[in-house]
Amino acid sequence: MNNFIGQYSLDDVLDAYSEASEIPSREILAEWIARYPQFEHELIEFTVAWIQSEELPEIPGDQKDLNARLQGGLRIVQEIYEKRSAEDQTQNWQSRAKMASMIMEGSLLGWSTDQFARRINLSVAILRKLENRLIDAVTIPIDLIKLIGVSIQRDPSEIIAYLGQPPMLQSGQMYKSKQPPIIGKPQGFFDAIRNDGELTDDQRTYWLSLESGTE
Amino acid sequence: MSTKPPNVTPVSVEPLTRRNTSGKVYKRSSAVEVQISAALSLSDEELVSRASIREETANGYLQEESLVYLIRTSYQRKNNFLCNKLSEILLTRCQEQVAFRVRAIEQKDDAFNDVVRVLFEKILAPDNSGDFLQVRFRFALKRISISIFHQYYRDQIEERENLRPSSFQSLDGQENEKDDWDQVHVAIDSDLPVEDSFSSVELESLKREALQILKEPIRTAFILHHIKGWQIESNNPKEITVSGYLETTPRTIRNWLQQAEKELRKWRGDHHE
Repeated sequence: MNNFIGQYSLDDVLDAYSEASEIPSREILAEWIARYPQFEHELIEFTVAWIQSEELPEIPGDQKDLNARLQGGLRIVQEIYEKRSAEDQTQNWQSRAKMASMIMEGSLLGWSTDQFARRINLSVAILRKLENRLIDAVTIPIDLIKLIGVSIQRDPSEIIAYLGQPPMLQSGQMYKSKQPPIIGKPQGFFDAIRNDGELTDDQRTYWLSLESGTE
Repeated sequence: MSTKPPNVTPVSVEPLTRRNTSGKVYKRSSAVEVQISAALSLSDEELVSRASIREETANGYLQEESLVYLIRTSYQRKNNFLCNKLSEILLTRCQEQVAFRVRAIEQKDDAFNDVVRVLFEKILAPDNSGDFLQVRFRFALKRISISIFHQYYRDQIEERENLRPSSFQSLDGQENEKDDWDQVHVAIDSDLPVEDSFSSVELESLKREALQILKEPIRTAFILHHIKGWQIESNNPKEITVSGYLETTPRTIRNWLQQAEKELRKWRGDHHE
């Protein structure tokens, strides 16, 4: 006798019901309806489907050979793995703390600032400008945002949120004035590329080739 | 003297957490626990080799319940090689059972794929919704397969219904020629030429062929009444009846059964004259 009063789902009940008998039985169905009257309709529907699946004749259809069907099934499995991995990744991103510094995130992955800059195909100077939000976020190519996101394992939306915050002063700099220094208007990304002295010609050509796509 | 088997390092197996309808936490069988524990200390190649054993009584055989756990674990450890191999082995083992359940579906490959989808979503579920698969895999798979069958068969009936004029509905409300249907017992067995020369397999095949000619919902009414013994109607409101399930009057059910018998007689004549 089932005396448990708890929260069980239809799934749980149907799992247990399918285990209760090897073959569909009207007597067992009646017993289970008495036990779970809230699922009467579902239990009857399931039982009739069970009967039909056992009694109905095979019909010709788009039947593939066994190997083709297996391969099709494996493709589905692969899709599920990929979907689950993506969900796990998103969950990881969401559960991580808000990003305080891109360079620090890179250092947690073992990169120096120089290595990080090379990884995203930029100079250290431009990386520092991005870090300090001294570049106008709306001018930054989406390809770069994605590249940074992949590099430091953050969702692109987090990178956009970081870059869109107000500019900040470079850490470690000393100022003589008692007044806080005034930070100028952020520079456009492509202006920064044109005027940077550290970028190679190839890097500059590559980034400037994206300029028309952002306008 | 130690009773511990040699070369087996005990490895802890993550416990199940879901509760069954009796309120008790699902528990794997001890055989499955032992299989999993032993398998976790094997190399990937050894594990695949062991999982490939098909003979249930063979030494080292891994039940499907164990494979489910091992697939979950290999996925969590990002071991793609093992995860893919074990998934393929499990799918190969399931293929026949699932194919049987969806054989009456026109789009059986789609139905098969949907069963696979539900099965593996449960296997990889981050919560405990797939725990039953590690306890009673065969029943869990049966449950999933029947649920998918139900969806497809219902859609199939609706599609066919939209394509043909209502033939059975014309019989609704007609008076029965006879009112002794429960005695007539037009079970397919009695309507087919039962010859000594037929094997049981052949007879089964003939029965299924005969059912093929009946259209829904007559076919289901016929199966429930004549094959599964459901009453057409009952004075007991708790009794599950054919008319109750199909939500129509007992008279209509009788008319459908009458029509089924006519069609089966015609089929018999066409086939065996």
